[in-house]
Amino acid sequence: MMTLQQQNISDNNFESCIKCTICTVYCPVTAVNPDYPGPKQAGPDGERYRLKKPFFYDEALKYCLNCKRCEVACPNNVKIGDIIQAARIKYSNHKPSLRDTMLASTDFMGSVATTMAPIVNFTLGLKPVKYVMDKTLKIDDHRTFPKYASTKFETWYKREAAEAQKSFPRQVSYFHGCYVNYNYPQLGKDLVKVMNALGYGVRLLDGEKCCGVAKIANRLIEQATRDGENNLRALREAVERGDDVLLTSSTCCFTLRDEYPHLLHLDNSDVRDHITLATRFIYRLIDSGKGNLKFRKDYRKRVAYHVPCHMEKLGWTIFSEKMMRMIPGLELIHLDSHCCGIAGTYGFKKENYEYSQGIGEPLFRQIRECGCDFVASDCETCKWQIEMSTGISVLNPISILAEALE
Amino acid sequence: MIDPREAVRMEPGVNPDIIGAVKVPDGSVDPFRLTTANILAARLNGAHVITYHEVTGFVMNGNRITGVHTRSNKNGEKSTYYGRVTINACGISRLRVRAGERGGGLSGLTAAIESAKSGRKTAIVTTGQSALHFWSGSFEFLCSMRGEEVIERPVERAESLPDSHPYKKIGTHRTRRLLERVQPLLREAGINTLGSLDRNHYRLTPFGFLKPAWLTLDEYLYLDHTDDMAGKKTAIVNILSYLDFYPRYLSNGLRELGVECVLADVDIPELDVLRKSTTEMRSTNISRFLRNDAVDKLAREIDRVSRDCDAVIMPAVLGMFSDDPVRRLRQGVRRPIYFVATTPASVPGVRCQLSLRDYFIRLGGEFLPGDTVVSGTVRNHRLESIRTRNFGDMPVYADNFVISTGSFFGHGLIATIDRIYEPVLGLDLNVDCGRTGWYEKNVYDPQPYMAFGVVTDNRFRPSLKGETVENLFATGALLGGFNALKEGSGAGITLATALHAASEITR
Repeated sequence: MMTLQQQNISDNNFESCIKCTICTVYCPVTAVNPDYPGPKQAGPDGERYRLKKPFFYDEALKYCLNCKRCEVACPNNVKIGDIIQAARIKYSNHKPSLRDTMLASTDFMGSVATTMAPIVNFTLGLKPVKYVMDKTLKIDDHRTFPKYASTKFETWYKREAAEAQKSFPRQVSYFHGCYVNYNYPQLGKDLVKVMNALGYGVRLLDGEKCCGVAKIANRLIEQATRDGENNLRALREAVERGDDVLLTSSTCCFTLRDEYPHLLHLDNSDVRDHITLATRFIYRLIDSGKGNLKFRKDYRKRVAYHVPCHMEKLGWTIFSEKMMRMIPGLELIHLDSHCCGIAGTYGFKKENYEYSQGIGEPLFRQIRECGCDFVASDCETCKWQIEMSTGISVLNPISILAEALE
Repeated sequence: MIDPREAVRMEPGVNPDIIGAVKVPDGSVDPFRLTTANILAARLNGAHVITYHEVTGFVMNGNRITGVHTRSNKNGEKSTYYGRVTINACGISRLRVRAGERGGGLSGLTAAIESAKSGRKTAIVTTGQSALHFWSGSFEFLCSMRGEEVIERPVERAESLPDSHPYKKIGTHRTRRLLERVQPLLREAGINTLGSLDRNHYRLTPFGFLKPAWLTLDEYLYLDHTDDMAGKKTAIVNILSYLDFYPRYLSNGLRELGVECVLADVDIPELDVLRKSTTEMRSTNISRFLRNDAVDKLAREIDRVSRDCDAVIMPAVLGMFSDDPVRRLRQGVRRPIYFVATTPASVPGVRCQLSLRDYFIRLGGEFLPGDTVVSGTVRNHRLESIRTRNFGDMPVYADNFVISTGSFFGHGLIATIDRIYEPVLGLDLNVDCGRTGWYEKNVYDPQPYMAFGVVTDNRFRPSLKGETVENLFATGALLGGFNALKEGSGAGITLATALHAASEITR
């Protein structure tokens, strides 16, 4: 009897749903889009039907942001977001379009674009180009593409940093992600600066690929799995040489730790504990007295902290916040826990633009009204969205730390 | 009909000794709505619904059942009803619905707020959102004893509770002093309540009954006496096609109290978008659209249908993130408006949970949502640190810990086929019998499992393998020794033990 009961535990805990609808209360999409059935209906309720017959799959599940706020709210530990994403992967007949593939292939597009960054940045900013992309590709013309860098982070690292890193007695590995590599190498440089100040050298992984979050969202599962297998190999090598692997992006971190096993069925249990956000690693180091940072005396900033959804899901908000609070002269405003609405490639799609902005509106209002010098956030896509929607710049907590160092 | 082998193939969990099975086309329903819809349909077809009665036996005529003997669970009155056909359809679910009025959320937040106020660094680790999301809008201190009476002066009566009861462990005098802090504390968080410990007042349940209560949210109906509304004309107003509010139950109940009722539906175009999906016309979704101008429009509609009424009763579907819409509506309608709780989720419950959480954060507290404590390290009779799922290999250290994980519903206690245990630390429980002793066969009798909980000393410090853990305090539904459902004491115990723990920590 007992074993029977234990064996009946379902995937993603979906039988534990008691239909309390608390997930729906905290769903940012339900708040703005009546075409979305809501997490309870799209998740465990719908799964009940889909298990019976795939016919019951509802294409409206594509409106799910995959923010996982439903899972954070669920009192019974039902993996509502995972149920929805797994259903999209398994049942959707909708083929990823050229646009979806382009948006999702952050690494391929990045490596092409960085070779001719000035031209690409210029072209993508042109009104007629935006107009054509809007009409043909359905990429909303309100969106501003993040600028591509002319020198990749990896190239800079090999040329300028790699040699010096070897002299440090302690080492960490860094999973920089596509954004740092192709768009914003400065964040990677900031991490190297901070870790060096703490007495750590920074190593790169051998052949890092995109974490795959955008490919999962756009259902390019084969590519995402291939990249994932490659990344796991690289992560294992790093862990075997004794390194913890640090990230500066909360979403990449969440993907490597949780989406790999849950959605790609890649077993990462041997390395998962070693994959961590840089802010958590640094907080822990300083808190335990094993590291020390010296800060500028003249640093005076009023910073509003926006917690990305995946940061909330990781449960590590406290580390980024505490780490920033270590900086003398930094006044931290904790913004309400609220999705910014972009969800990676989601907000770039024309059909989602209006909802995307609707979801983020209360957050934008609070940012505009709080009188901050800038916003802090651990996620690059939150950064694009907030900068575009408020005109106020957004910095990663690691960049803030680097700026405040003596 | 399908044969047993086929049934076992389709559903491996089924008892292999069955002699047959029936296969029916499958679907899913909302259990809350189904129950009420069935009752309403029965009533439309001429059925009488008698609630709060249990069947104690059958009236037999030879080999035929011709009626049932019943006993009222409110006053113990015995009656007999006759019918041509008797259908036995007694489920057990009704027993559990009210358990949601207490829980780790309220208890943990209250203790944490008091601790943070004293300047101590305080953190809350919580799995998902709390039972306040099902909140009826009232807190009870002590409403009934032995299930058969309504208590008027609750503190006086608490004296006669057994010594093992949390109120007696704290001492009724001290319990009272602790609980007098609740109303001001809620007010500081932005939650206004009415009520007093001297005397229970009455609140209106969604099913049209008056029940005793200690504190009630100020936007809900509050009566000093059961006949306060007699002779008044009241409009019971629902939002058109909103299914989780039952005007007919309310009017039936209120008419028994001598209230004249007018039933009306109102609608405003702003709510049309919700009708796109039949599953999403829910209290919390409605509340998102009742803002600003929409509230004024709604007020005009309510004003129109409630002309020549003395008061308006409507579902609590306004103000999830702030009580501004509630105030705005009250200003726009020329009669007093009282709200009644709806089936989950409770809009005022969400607001109160968020208000308490925000207050705690303003006081400098750390709120860690979506995380679960998985284990702890006890050394020299002290809980040194805990580990959580999200913090992984980083333990959390503290001088004191409060465990407010709730009872079975909140997963503070886990029951398997053969045992009951406390999952975080394996604390000692007051369960001294095997499975057959956990429950009484008659579901309306006090159920032993309802009184299960952790064993503590008189300061509510739990014990582990017979030894008290000196810096750990248990609060709320995780404690044993009382039946909150039968007593109507869940919220009072939750708050009293939380405030007690906070005073132990801060002294």
